[in-house]
Amino acid sequence: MPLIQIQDLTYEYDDFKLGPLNLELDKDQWISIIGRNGSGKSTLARLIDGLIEAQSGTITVNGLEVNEQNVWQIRSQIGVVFQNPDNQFVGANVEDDVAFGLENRQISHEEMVKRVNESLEAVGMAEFAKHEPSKLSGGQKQRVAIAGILAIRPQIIILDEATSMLDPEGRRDLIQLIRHLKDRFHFTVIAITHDIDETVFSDQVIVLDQGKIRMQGCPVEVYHNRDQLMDLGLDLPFVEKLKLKLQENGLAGLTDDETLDEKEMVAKLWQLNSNM
Amino acid sequence: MSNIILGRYIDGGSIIHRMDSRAKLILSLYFIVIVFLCNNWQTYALLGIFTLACVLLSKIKMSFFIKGVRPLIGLILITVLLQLFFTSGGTVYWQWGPFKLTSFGIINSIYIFCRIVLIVLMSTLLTVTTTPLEIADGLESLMAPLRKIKVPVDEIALMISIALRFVPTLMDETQKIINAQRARGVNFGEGNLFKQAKMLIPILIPLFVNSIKRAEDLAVAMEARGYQGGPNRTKYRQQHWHLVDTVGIVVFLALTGGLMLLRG
Amino acid sequence: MAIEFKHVSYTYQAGTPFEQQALDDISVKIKDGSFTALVGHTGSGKSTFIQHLNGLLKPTAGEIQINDQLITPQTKNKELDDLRHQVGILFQFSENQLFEETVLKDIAFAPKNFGKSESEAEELARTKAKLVGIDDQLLERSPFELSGGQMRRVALAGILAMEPQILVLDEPLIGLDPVGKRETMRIFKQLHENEKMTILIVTHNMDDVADYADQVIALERGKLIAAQSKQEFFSDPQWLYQHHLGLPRAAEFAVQLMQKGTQWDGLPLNVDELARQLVTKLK
Repeated sequence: MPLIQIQDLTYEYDDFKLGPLNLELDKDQWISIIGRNGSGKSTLARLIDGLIEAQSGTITVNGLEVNEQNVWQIRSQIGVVFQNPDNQFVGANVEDDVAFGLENRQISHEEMVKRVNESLEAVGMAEFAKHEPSKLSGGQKQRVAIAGILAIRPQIIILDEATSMLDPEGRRDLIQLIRHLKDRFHFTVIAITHDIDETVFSDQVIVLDQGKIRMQGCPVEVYHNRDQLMDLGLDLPFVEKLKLKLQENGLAGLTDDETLDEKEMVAKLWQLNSNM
Repeated sequence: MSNIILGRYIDGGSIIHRMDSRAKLILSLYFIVIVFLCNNWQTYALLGIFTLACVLLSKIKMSFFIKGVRPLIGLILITVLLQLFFTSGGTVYWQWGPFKLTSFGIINSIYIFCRIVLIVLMSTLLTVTTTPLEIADGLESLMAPLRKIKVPVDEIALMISIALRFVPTLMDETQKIINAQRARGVNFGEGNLFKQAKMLIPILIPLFVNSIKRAEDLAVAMEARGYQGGPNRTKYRQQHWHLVDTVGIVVFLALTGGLMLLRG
Repeated sequence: MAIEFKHVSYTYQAGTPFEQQALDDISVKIKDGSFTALVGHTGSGKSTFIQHLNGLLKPTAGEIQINDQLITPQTKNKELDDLRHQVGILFQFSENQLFEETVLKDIAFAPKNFGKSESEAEELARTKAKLVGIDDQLLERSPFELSGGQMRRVALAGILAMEPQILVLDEPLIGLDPVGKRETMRIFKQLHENEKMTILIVTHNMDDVADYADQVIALERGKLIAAQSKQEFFSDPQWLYQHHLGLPRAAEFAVQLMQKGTQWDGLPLNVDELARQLVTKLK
């Protein structure tokens, strides 16, 4: 059974319409959702977490249908990191913020202290436990948000443009951290992003446009369809862009190559070079 | 401005800093009551020495306390002058219409002066050794019985805690908006009152709009993190009543005894 | 010469225990008609630097020459009025500065403050709205009904309506999607080329530096660590890594090949150049 199952889902608001959507997402995967601003990516995330209600259709998470009765149980399995680092920091200081989700679930104090410490340790923020949010960078605040999610031990983490307000170094660090945590704790990641280079290592990529799924599949399949991606107003991954430019300059040998990873591409090019 | 809102907390590890905020709140209130037990120079002297000892124990520079008294100087002066010129009784030294200077008046005004200064010193001691958050936690804990009469103590406490956390964020944002509007040719602090009031609009509207946006974001984030409101939550920030807090209470009781004995 | 900093220092809350030196003896020139990128980490002094460009802050030591205006620590605020509309600053998250009832009024706000009549200001507003691609039919709408990307363009038009010669852009692309970024950068390029504006852009994104800037100024903890042409700036990857400034994607890729032994004819800074050089090597 898929972890998340979406059937005939529609959601309308003003002149925006999402769906009808059908989607199955499997456990332990890294699923990237890309698309332009206003394509419905964040709406989809909010529907899954029961933060907004669909007009029709159903979503089931781990066999539980998202509805009023189940919503709190479902939220215990899902953690969301939002875009603005400041607007999700509830606590007076770092440890207090990590504890917020635990307090809501009435975890005992003893257990809270243990989990707060472990989670802060896991995201590398232990030494900042007593710091106030105004003393932290955006990237550090997002780490704290992740610690707060780890503390409730969810099965799914949704990154709702979590890196979009960080600088390139901060982005890279955060994504690396989450990949590392995913390997360690085995959760499913649903990453909503504009940064296509953040998605090349995903297990699955879903491209949304005007509330509908336009492309879906593993990165190699999706990103090989360069023309369609560009028609949808999206960037190409760097390596894909390079292949395209090589072709334009008269080197066709790599056009249909499936590599998306930079390091692999470097190795391939070096090999070509050495064979000359 | 942040000083007004955030209090004047000064970090330190003194015994007063380490006391439980509940104990400090109760004792600060209790102090105001026992100040009114004083009615002669012996009692004022005892309380004065006691207050000084507390200030010294906090290991905070005297200048911070003087700063605490300074904004109230006008109020103190008026109260003292009223006492000085409107009290009857004892020897009359001077009289002019309704104004008179009497021996009772002089003594009373000195007492009033001491009373206000002592109270201000003690409450300054509370705010410089206790963070606003600790005070809020202390109040929450002390107000807990009010839950029985349906006062939403927990919500109020969380609200205060979030408000305190967002003060620096909003100050920062205000400064940014001011800068942006200055760059668009607004000259703050110029022109008549009406003009100056009008200049607030380009600041207040963006600030208001952004705060609402923040509040919405925050509400969604809190819900996503499992917040359902109500008292059914555990608390991570714990308050610990230590021996020093009990000792504090005992000292204050002994002090009360002393004042009763010395009272004239 | 558009802008010259001579030994400029700025200290916040000087003489208090919270004293903090944000700029430390900065001397740098920004040429007329240049497209300069200002790079550096959070806390490097970038935002203090740009606030000096239109007199929002005055140096605590040293002096700044901007066109024919000299700013010293003693300069009075009143003398800076003229400078304010010569240098337009578009701050980070500029959508947050909108407040008027209509888009048109918001764009006309600055020119009115600088003494233009109602009708002149509106005329300017219409022109600048068109320049940044705001549809005529949006002009009578409330700015708060627009999308984030549109709001940011309205803010830009509001700055352009002051008719500045120098445009300062503080992280103008954060939060925009790829199309929004491309279009916004195209507008900046157009302002630079067609309107001959001097542009200073604060950014963390080295790809944007490589694609659009000709000069680079780098700050680190309030000190100037580089002020040179883009080519010189990117010529020493080692130095860039040391200062955590990073490289454009294409250059980073080229460096990886270089470590294996590829020789570059000048480090390629964008993917076109990278592909071109690779093809000549591989053919």
